[in-house]
Amino acid sequence: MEKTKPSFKSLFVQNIYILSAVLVIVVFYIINPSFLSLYSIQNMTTELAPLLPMACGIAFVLYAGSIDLSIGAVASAVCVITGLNVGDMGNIMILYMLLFGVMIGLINGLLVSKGKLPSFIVTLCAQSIYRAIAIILSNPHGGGSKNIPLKQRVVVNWATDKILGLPILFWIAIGILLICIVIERKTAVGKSIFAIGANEKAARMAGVNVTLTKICAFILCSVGAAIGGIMYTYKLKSSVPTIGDNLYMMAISSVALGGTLFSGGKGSALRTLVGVLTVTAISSGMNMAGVNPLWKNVVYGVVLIAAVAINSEKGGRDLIIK
Amino acid sequence: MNLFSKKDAKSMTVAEQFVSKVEQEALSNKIRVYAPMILLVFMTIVFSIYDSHFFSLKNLVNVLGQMAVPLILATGLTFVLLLGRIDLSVEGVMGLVGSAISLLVLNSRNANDWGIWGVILPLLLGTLCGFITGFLHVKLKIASFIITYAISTIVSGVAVLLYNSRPATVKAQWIIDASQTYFLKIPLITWIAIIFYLICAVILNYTAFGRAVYAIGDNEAAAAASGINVQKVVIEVFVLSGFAASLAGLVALIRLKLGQVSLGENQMFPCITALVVGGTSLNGGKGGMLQTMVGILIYMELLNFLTIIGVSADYKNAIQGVIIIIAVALTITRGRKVIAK
Repeated sequence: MEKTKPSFKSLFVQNIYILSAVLVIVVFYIINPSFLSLYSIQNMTTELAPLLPMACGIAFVLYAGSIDLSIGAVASAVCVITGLNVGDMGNIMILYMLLFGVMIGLINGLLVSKGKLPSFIVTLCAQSIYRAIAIILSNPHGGGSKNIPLKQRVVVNWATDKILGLPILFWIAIGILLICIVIERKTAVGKSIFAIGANEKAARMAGVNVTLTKICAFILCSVGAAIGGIMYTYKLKSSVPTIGDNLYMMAISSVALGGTLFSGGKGSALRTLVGVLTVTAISSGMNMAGVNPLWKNVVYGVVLIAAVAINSEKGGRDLIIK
Repeated sequence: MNLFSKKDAKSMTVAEQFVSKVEQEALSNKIRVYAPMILLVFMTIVFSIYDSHFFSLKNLVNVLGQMAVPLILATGLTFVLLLGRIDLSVEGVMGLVGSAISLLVLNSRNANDWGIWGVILPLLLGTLCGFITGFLHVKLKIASFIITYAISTIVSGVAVLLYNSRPATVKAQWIIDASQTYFLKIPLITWIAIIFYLICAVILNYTAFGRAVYAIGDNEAAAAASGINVQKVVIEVFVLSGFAASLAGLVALIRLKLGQVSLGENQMFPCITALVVGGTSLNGGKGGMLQTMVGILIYMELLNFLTIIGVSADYKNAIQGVIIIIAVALTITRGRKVIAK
C-alpha cells in the first residue's frame, strides 16, 4: 500500500498537463459553447501554428539544461526582414531566414559552449541586439508594423489557404512537430541533448561531444524561432517589429505546462504540443469570453508560476540553469 | 598522475606549485578589482580629448541628473547578484509603483488626492511584490529568473489594468516642485539615490545581514551549515530589491510625471550590465557597493558619450548587448555551473 501511494501521486503529477488542458477547454466550452465551433477551431489552429515551432525549438535548449531568452526577439527580427522583402524576393526568403536562424543559433551556441558563458546572459544580450535590429530595420518604413502591399500578397496568400478545413500553416507546424519527435527519439543528437541535460559530466565521460550537442540545441531553438517569425509574417501579412515581445513568455509557459523540467534532461515534444494547446486555448477563450486583453499577461504569469511549481522536483536538486 | 607529470616537467615541488598558483590568483584578483576603475579613468580621459564638452561642469551635472534611476536599481540588484540570484521583476515593479502613484496623487485621470499617502502606499505595494517574489522563490524552489520574470509580467499587466491603457499625468504641485529642486546644482532625485546608495553600502559592509549575503553567495551549503537562516536572508534581499525598484519607480515618475508601464522599460538590462562591468560576479559572492558605483559611472559615461556623438537609442541597445557579452566573457569565473538559482 505504501508503495502504490507515492506512485499514484507521481503519476498524477506527471500527467497533470493533460488534465489542465482538458480543464481549460471544458471551462471555456461551458462559458461559451461556440468555443468549439469550426470557426473557432480554425481560428485557434491559425494562432497556434507559429507558437508550436517556437515552443518545440526552445524545448531542446531546456532539455539540455540551458535557456534561450532571445527567441521572441529573433522572431521579431525574422518577421520584419521577411515582411519587408518577401514581396520582391518571393518565397525563397523562407530559406534565407532559416539560414539566418541557423546562424543565430550557431553564435549563441558557440558563446555558451566554447566561451563557457551562462546561456542566460548570452541570450539576454542577443535579445536586446535582435530586438534593436527589428526596430532599426522597420524605422525607415515609418516604424511600427507595415503591411505587405496588396499587389504582392499573392506570394504569401497560400499559407492561410485551408486543407481539410484547417490552414496550411497549421499542417506545417504539425510536420515540424513530427520532425522534432523524430529528432528527440531516433537521432544521436536528440539523445545526446537529453544526456547532457540530465548529467553533463557523465555524458562527457560516456563520449558525448558536449560542445557540438549544445550548439545543435541552440541551432534547433533559433531555427524554431525563425520559423515562428516567418509564420507570423505569412499569417498577419505584415512585418511587426514588436510581435516577439510576448512570445517568449507564451512559448516558455507552453513548455513548462507540458511538464518539461527547467533543470534539463526530461520532456517531450508531444507534451509541448499539449502545453501550446492549453496556452492557445486560454488566449482564445479569454478573447471569446470578452475578457479585457490586458489580463492576458497577468494570466500567463500566474500559469507559468503554477506550472513550474507543480512540475519542479520537490526536495530534489535545485533548479539550475547553466 | 597529471599532477606528478606536471611537477616533473617544471621540476617544482608541490608546495612551490601551490605558492605560485596562489600568487597568480591573488594577482589576477587584484587586476580584476582595479580594472574597472582604470577603465573608468581611461574612458574619461579619452572622451574628454575626443570632445571638449564632455569634461565640463554642465555635462557632469547632466550625467548626475540621469544617474538617479540606474543607481537606485543597481544598489538593490547588487544584493541579489551577490546571492547568485537575479531579479528581472524590477522593470515591472517600477512601472506598477509609478502608475499607482500617478493615480493616487492629484492627477489628470481621477479625483484622488491622497497627498503623501499616495506615495507611501505604492512604495509599500512594490516592497510587497519583492516579498512575494522572494517567498515563492524560496518556498516553491522556483529558479529566481523564472519567478521574477513571471512576476514582472504579472505586475506590469496589473499596472496597465490600473490605468486602463490611458496613463495619468501628475498634477500634484509638490511632485512637480520636487523635479525642479536642486541642491548644490545637483537634482533632488539624485540626492535621494545617493543617500539610498550610502545606506545600503553601510548595510552591506557593516551588518550581520550584509555578511550573510556574502556568505550565502559564496557557498550556500556552508552558510546554512554555519547557522545562517538562508531562506530568511534570501527573502529579505528580494524585499530590499523590491523596495529599490519601487523607489526607482517614484524617481522615474518625478522625472517624467506620466504614470505608465514604460517608466521601467529598458532599465534592468543596463543595470545588470553596469554591475557586471563594475566587477560584481553573476555567480554570487563577489562584488560590492564600490564596484556598483564604478560600474554605474562607466555605464553613464558611455551612454552620455554615445548621446554626445549622436548615436540613436535603438543602436544604443544593440551596442549595450555586445558590450555586456564582452564584459561577462572577461570577468566571469569559469568552471562554476550555477548561474541563476
